[in-house]
Amino acid sequence: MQRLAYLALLLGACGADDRPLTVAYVTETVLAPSCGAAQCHSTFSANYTDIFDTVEGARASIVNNQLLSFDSDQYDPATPTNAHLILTVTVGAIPAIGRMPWDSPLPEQDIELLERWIAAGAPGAQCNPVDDIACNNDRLMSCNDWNFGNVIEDCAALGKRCNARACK
Amino acid sequence: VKRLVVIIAIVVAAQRADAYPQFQLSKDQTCSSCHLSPAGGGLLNENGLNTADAISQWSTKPELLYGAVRTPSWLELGGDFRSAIGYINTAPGDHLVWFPMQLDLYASAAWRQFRVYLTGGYRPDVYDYPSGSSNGSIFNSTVQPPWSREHYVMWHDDPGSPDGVFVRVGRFMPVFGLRFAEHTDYTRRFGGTQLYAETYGAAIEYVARQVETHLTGFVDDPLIDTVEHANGAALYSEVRLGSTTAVGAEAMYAASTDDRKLRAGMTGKHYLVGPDVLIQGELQVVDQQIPRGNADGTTASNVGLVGYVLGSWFAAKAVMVDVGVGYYNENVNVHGVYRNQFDVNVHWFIESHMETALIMRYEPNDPRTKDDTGAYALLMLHFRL
Repeated sequence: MQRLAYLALLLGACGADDRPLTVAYVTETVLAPSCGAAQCHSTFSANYTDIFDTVEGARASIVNNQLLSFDSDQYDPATPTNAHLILTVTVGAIPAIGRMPWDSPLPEQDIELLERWIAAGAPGAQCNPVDDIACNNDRLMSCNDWNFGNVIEDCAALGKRCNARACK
Repeated sequence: VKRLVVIIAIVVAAQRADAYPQFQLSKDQTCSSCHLSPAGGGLLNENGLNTADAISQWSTKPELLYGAVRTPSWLELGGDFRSAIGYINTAPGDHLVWFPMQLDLYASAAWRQFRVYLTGGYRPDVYDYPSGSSNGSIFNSTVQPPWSREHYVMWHDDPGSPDGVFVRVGRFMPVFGLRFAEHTDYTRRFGGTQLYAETYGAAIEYVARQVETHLTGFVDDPLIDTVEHANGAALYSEVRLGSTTAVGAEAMYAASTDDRKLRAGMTGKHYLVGPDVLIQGELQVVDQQIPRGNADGTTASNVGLVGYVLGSWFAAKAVMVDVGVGYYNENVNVHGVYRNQFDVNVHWFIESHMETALIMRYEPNDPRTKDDTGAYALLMLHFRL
């Protein structure tokens, strides 16, 4: 029993990773310091129109620049390791540009945090509310405050797939 | 086969014309001993010009354009141009890069106890956001080069001296920490004074040979989207214990719509006269509060650490060798979310206007790639007008 208590203390000292899976948290602790540097993806520079130094900028960049996909042909929450955002910070999604950040690779634990957030559905960066509707794995859904809302049309039930905001 | 990609990186890196804090204690006691600004950086005063010549390999006239242009005593003009070329190692291979870094011109006019200071020059382009974005309002793509990074009015109670009370109002970087010129050093990048973090504010500063204190209040730039998004205040105090040792304390509070950060830390410097080596370090604790950071909408908390230690050896006339180690831990309560940087920089001060430096960095890390490090080697050329 005493040994178990010591083990529990030791594990506690290692710090179990129970960080919250919100767009605000992953932006402010991972994306902003590592990707949103002034000369990179800050609001100031906005390289390749990606902005990560604010929560608003991060979710707009993730959604509008399709760094995550909820279409049926690539449903990132099912396989986060294949998400464009994750490939960018691991092997380099665009070979000519390479892995990001160039000089300071993300710690593995931060990549895993991003993956857990994506697997949880990337709350807060699922869709652009201006578009009203968005695909979520073969379901056409409303979009409210950057999150999926109600199911408008179940494409799968119609024998169709949901791509580019339409059942096809 | 390693991929070789040539990238003309127009917007990817830059560097401020900060002074080298390596010169404090090793060359003189304060930043204002050599610079017009109490924060250091930018235009040099007469002592700074003489020092620039004294530390150079070959002596040249250190004044503006080698003395070819004379300005009236109330007007100071200058400029800094920096560029670098080299390799960055990142998966999947090496990338040949070129950075324009800095194209800045300075002007400063003095009248009695007042001085106006202006830095103007090139700034990186801002990409236009795709049409149809719902966020057009937060992406300011209308501000393009040139721009003014710094502009302020300064009152100095003793204009003929590098010491005294300074009051500054305008756009500038708050004085905080050791303020290394290398903006990628962790204590700058993650330490509250990252590149282009100048913003509008007011400062009251006291500088003397044995002690200096800088208190700055700053606001989110109301005119352009910039790097510093917060309102806040910064305090930095430094006490010099004799002529070779200094210790400092720092605190900064910055609040934006996205987070609130309270930084507190210490700095230290010691100059070893015999071997001509300056050792300096900075350590910050960062308390971060993130509104709506938790899934239930409550505020999330983080405690991080940022530190950097630099040894500078003045190995020969005109040669300065820096060896540095940085540490950044974004959350001390989570195992493994830290990173280190290891730096070796070799500066050669060719003549009083020209410097070249070999800048090398290694950042080991463990992303899931066969090329799991960040590293670069850049050759930088700096010309001071």
